[in-house]
Amino acid sequence: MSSERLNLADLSQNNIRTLHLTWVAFFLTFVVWFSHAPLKPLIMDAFDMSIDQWKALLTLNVALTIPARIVVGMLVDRYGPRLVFSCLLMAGGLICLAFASAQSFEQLALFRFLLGFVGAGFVIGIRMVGEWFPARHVGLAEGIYGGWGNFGSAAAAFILPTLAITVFSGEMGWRFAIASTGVVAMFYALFFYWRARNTPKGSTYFKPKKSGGLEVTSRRDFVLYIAMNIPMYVILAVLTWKLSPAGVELLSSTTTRLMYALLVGLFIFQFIQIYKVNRTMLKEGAPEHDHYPFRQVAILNWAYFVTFGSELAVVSMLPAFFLETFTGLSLAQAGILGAAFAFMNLVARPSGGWFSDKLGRRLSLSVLIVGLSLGYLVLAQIDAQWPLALAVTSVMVCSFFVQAGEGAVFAIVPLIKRRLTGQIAGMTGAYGNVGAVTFLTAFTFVSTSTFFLIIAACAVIVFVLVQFLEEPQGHTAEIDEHGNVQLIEVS
Amino acid sequence: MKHLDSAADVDIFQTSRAGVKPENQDTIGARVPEGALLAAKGLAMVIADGVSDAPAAQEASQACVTGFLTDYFATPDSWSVKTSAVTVIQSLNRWLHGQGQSALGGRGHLTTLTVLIIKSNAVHIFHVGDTRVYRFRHNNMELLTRDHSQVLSPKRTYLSRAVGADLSLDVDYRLESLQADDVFMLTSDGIHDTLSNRILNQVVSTTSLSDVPEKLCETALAQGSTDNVSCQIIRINQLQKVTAVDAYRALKELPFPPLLSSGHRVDGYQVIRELKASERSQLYLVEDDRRRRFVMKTPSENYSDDLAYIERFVLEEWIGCRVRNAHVIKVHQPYNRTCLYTLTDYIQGPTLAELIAQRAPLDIRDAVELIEQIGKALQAMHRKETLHQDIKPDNIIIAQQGAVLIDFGSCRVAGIEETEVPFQRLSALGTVDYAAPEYHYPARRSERSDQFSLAVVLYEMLTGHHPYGAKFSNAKSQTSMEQLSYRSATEFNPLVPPWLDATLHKALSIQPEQRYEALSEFIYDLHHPNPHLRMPTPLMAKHPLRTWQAIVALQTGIILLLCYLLIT
Repeated sequence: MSSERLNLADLSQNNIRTLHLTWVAFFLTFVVWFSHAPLKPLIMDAFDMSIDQWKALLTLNVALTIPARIVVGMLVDRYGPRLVFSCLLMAGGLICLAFASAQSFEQLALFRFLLGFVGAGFVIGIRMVGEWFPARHVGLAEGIYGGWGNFGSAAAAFILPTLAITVFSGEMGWRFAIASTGVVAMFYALFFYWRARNTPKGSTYFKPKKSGGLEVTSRRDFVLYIAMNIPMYVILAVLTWKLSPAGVELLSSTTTRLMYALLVGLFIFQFIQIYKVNRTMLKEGAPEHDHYPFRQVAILNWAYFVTFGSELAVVSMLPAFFLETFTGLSLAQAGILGAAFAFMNLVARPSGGWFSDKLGRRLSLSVLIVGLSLGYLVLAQIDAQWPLALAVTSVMVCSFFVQAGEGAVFAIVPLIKRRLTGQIAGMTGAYGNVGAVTFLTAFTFVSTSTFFLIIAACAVIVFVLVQFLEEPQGHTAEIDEHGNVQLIEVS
Repeated sequence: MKHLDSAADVDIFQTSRAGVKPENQDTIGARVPEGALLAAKGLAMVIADGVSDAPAAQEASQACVTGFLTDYFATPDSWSVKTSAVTVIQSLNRWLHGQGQSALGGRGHLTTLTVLIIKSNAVHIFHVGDTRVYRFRHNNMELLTRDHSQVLSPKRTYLSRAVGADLSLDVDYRLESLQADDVFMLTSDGIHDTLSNRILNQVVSTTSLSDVPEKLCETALAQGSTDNVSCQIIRINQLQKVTAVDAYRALKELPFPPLLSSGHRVDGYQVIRELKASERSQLYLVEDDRRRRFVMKTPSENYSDDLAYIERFVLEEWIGCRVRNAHVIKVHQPYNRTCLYTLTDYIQGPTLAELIAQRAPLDIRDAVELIEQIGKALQAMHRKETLHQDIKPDNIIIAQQGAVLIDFGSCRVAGIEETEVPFQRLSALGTVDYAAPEYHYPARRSERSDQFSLAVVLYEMLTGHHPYGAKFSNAKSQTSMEQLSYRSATEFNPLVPPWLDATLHKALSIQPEQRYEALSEFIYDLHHPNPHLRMPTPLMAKHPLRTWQAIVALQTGIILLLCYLLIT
């Protein structure tokens, strides 16, 4: 562990091994999570589905992730990342098998909904990587973890159509293809449990990590924090309404009411958690030096909403979009083109962090959001007349801005309040999922090009918000030509 | 530990008079230090009343008060108030007793002694004899001490306990929490034997505080007190609270250094290379202008606003400067410092963890010798009332001079633990596999906890395994801990003699009470087979007669069965 550079090929080092183990686990959760997207026509044929039903399925897939993150976070506190990640993969694999053998649309919908739990895997690995890497490398290591793991959705789009048509062929092909991802995930769950460890051996650990609410430092921030939690529930309520007899009629009116009640209950539960953490602050106020503006967290939340949220939404619909827009594409080809979006993850996310370090936080985030806004405007114009190569290129350029934007957001997260980094990251991540549900719910109402326009419009609003970000302050170090380190206070 | 400093905001008034007696045998004294000493030791008030029947009453009480006020503040600042005060009182007792026993002109040196110490937000009272401490809170008067006297007849009472009376002395100790506006009063029997509680309370509540001692002495004398009269009174105007702002300012005074690379220079130390980096800190090999090499430990940015972490970090140097032992890493203090780091000796050699990985099981003689050295290091720390709390092979370096204990990042210092801080300190420190069971649930930690960890290390050196297996790190409650069973070291390494295994087993008891009372006993038993320890002996050796009886019974059963089968 003495090298100053991160050598990813050095498998003799325990932390590098852990990083690889962890990102592969995260990668597999993404494969399982988005295994249905590139197989749209096959699944729709098998069940004789309407397009509305399909879109509902896409939305259901990401809905459970929002509350699941909270649950998974608490489980990690209690049982440690190794066990929780293994169980999550195992459970994900089982549900995936159930999805593959579903006999009705209702079953399909139920298992997709449950698979949303797998989407919460991100939280686990972030915690694990954080324990294994020193400050010098942790940013890059988490970038690799996140970026390469997210690439799983591209991998699914790449492989599954071929698997479904060529390898397993026949009417049951898609079922076998999806089931195979589940089987791989289950085997990997065992492998992960066998090889991975929660913390470096002999590390000074075992302080209980606080879960539940985030600490805020003024009454105004408390109100803002509560307000920021409302959209999560509102969007789930909208989704419930969409699935109710008023929408696609997936839920009975009793179930719908039950869901509403559940959401209210969940909100009250969370409110109590938040209140408990902040009780002393509300009564006595927080000491001056401990103050941090919650507004910063809120802005980053919305930035992640439009970046990661749109990414999750777009990877769900893109393979089908290519297939339907450009006639003459095979399912496998459409899948590969659809994967173009998530493909950029490998480099874009780490580059976003790098831009942020070099060019200034607010500037780089602003530029990236303008870029992604323009990118989505372009995507909205794509139609059958476009040359295919140009369409793919614009998708890739747009996705670069999206994913670099994600990297830039997470480069700022640790600078707001070190002590609370984990919780701020958790909330930001949750907002990514809120974004996904929001955009996909919007997608159930509108056409594809309007869908892209909606994202672009959101990006413009977020751009305005980002202008209120403050550059973080503190001591900065300067190193002169003799190598002398001098600390300069920035006020 | 600058962040613990605070100023005392108290008023003290006192007076002492001979009264009708020719000589004043009472002695009173108080000391309110400043800055670091106040933070470490608190302030002290002492009253002593020389026993009139003893020939050297005045000498005794004076020696006690001046001796206490000097020696108490000279005890190590890592000691708790209780340890410091009791140690000082015991030595005063032995000295006074010795004075009385001296064959040449020995005269009885007997005195009462009552000490009130205020540190952080607590009052500590140490008491021998019939001097008293009263507390006045919200107009209520309460007596906090119990007189050590026996009433023989209405006119005659005898002191049943006094400093200097015997070689051994029981000191009453009482700990009370402090509130702002509390008033404490110390009196000698010349006052409280003459004046009733009602009058005492009346005087204190109606007189301005500065006049109370004079007024009480006068009243007592006026009412016919035949003894010396002394009174001390202290009011707590404001609690000695370290405010969050002060602590933050003091702890954040030095910035965290940035990540360093070879060639960088900090305060004149040139970085040669990074030795190790973890999620919590970085270690660099550095060199000064005279080409002496040190290890520089810098805090990880991950914790730049975590006050509990910074306090721990600062504490490492604080402890390192107070414990000197050949087997404890030496800490250096840089001359001028612009940022936060600790500097220690650079010791070349593998860590014990590396040694175990390469060579386990180790030769028994070598292993015991290394443990003995670490045991010495631990004893040096325990003498300063400091628990290491993170004994593990990674924290032991095998150098030319033997084993050296490094890293004080998890230490618990009794004297510092007593001082309240405005942030939450971490209570469970250390490393899961090596920390004693009592760290996994709320329970008292003691020197025996370090003993457990040390024994785990020895066990690992001899066998390469953990004495309770992998389940140990998952056990989180007392019940689940007690369900674990010790795996004999002889199972893994047949060369381990049973008596050594028995020694390990005792030191590795889940219940702290069942471990060795002192670390020295454990270390002694590593060399000397202890016949009192229960060793696992074969059944045959334990109950030869019954074993044979059982075998014969079994045999008979088989024969009968065979006979039966033959017949049918």
